[in-house]
Amino acid sequence: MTSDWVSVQQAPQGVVPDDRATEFVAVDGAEHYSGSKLVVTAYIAIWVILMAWIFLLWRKQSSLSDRLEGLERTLDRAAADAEKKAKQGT
Amino acid sequence: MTTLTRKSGKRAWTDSLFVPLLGITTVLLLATIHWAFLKAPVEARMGIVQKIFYFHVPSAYAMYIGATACFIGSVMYLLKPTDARDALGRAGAEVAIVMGLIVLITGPLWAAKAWGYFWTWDPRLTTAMLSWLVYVAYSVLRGFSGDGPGERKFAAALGILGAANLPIIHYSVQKWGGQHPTVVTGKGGGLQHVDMKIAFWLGMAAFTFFAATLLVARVRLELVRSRIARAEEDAIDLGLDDRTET
Repeated sequence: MTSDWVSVQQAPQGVVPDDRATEFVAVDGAEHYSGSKLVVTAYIAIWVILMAWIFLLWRKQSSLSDRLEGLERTLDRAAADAEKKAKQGT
Repeated sequence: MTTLTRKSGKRAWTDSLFVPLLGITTVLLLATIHWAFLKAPVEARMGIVQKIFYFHVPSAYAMYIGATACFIGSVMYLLKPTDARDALGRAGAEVAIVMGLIVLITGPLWAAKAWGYFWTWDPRLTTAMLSWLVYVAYSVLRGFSGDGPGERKFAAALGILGAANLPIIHYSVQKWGGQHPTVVTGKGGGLQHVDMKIAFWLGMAAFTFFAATLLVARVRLELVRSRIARAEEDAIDLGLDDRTET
């Protein structure tokens, strides 16, 4: 009677020896991951981040290109107006 | 008459630096990949996942480089505002964001194997994330609040504040302990094999040049943007453009 009481006290709370044959319980916070998968994921992440940044820089360049075209159109208009005024003056 | 094109005909310093920096970076990155995967031995306890270290630590160092550039640009801008100084601050913040994101993703992937979980509120992890968020705030501020002198000065102050966190990140492990390893900064040296040391220092050199290359490219883009903005203002002042100033 005494030895039964001791064995129950030493087992983890709520677990009796027979449970290991009938259920699997995951250990909290100690899950195992494949090292190879983690390394590959890390390198994929590095390249995805860098490519995303290059894409953003490309979009910024496109926006600058649009603004430059706007300026060129403005200059062309101004030059045409100046030419027109010069012709009217002569 | 005001000239619309400024500094034309003069080659910018960013142009002459970019190609040599890109060449050196390419060679060093290839050498790092070669050494990390083909020369350096697999670590006894962690296995192949330890190889993340050869890019994780150099990325953190590159984040410091970006943050330092942002700090220098911000301080110099507050002393004497110029487009180039503002561009350096902005470029530095973006490099810090990109490299910081690499650090914050590759670190947890290593931790999943080494600690059994991806994230914990360890002093170094927490301070690194805080610092990264400061630079994200800087970039969001610059992206959405206009480009006037007031906004630039406010962003410069934020750039200085972000740099104040850098020594805290660095010394957090020594001061407050935590789980983050001190393989490089700890006493005794944790890289036991010579090929591990070579792979690591190649990675550090590669990411130093990589950060410099990205900085130069980003500064150049920012300077071009500033010149276009000034040309637009000149066009409006001269009555050439009927758009309102923004």
